[in-house]
Amino acid sequence: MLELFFTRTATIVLSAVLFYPIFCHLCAETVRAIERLNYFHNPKVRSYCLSFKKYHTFEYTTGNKNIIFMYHIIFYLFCVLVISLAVITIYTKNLVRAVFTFFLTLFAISGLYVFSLADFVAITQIVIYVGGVLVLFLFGLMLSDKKLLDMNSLQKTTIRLGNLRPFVGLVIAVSFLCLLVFMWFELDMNSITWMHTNPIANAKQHEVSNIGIALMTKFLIPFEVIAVFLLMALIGASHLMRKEVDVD
Amino acid sequence: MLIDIQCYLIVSSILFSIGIYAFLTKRNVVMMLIGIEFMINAAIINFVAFSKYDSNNEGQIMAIFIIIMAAAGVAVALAIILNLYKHYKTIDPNQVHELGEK
Repeated sequence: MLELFFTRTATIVLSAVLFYPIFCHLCAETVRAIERLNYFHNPKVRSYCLSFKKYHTFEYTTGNKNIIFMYHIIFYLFCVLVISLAVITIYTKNLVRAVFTFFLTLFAISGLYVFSLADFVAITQIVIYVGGVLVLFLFGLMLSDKKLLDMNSLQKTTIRLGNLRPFVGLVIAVSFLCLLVFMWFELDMNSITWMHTNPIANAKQHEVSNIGIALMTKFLIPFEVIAVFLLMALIGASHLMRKEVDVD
Repeated sequence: MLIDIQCYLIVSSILFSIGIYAFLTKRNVVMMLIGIEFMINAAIINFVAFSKYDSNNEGQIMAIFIIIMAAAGVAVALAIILNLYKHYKTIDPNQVHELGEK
């Protein structure tokens, strides 16, 4: 009981610490969004934005304060959803629950892809992960024994080198996170020249048809190689899963 | 007005460190696999976030390739896990010492 309490408290404190930067960013972004509203009431800017109306630019064309606010709110909701569902996945004791929460995480991640103007990747994520990998995971679990689903029966082994204590793993993970976040903040985005293009200006480039054209021209060889690779993986998986038959 | 790239990067690095935690501490091969999937998804988020500024969409195509690779990897890994369970009657990686017959 006490252990459960400590685990839950640790989860809450950890998620609060993790969400704090995002919360600060949310506040700053909201203020900035409200500040920039005047800019979009300028008729010249409005007509420029209207020419790219088709793709994800509803927030530029309207200039409506509520819609911009909602756009950001939904994005940060997806961010919080991704992280909290990932934490729940790690802390769940039941394996089937963990797998289902994992797929909810993948759904939330596909929401992030939509916000990043990548519709096709979002749909691919949903179709392949949830259509393919979820079924694989569940079949894998259902075909196996009942003991596999009970994670508590697996926790009684002695600790060896490959398997760290939760605290040590947490320290390593958090230090890696600090390193990454520090690096992202240190990185000067202005020094990357190809990122100076305006995402609104090349909104037309994000059409699905452009991905198809690129796959059939520039990326034709990787495309074919990955097709052969997929066939290899399929044959390999079914070979591994075969029934043992005595030939002799 | 669009969301800054820093936000995507922070979310993906949090997801990556959650994956590292799961991979290092879990005593269940399926949970370790889920940790690896989290790390792969963090990488895909970075690809897609940077491709927003790219006029050639190359990041999105790479993301699609990575998703396909991850799916193939999961198929093979789950087959291996089921075989492992058949042989050893456990999916605790600590109790698996040999590759061949017991």
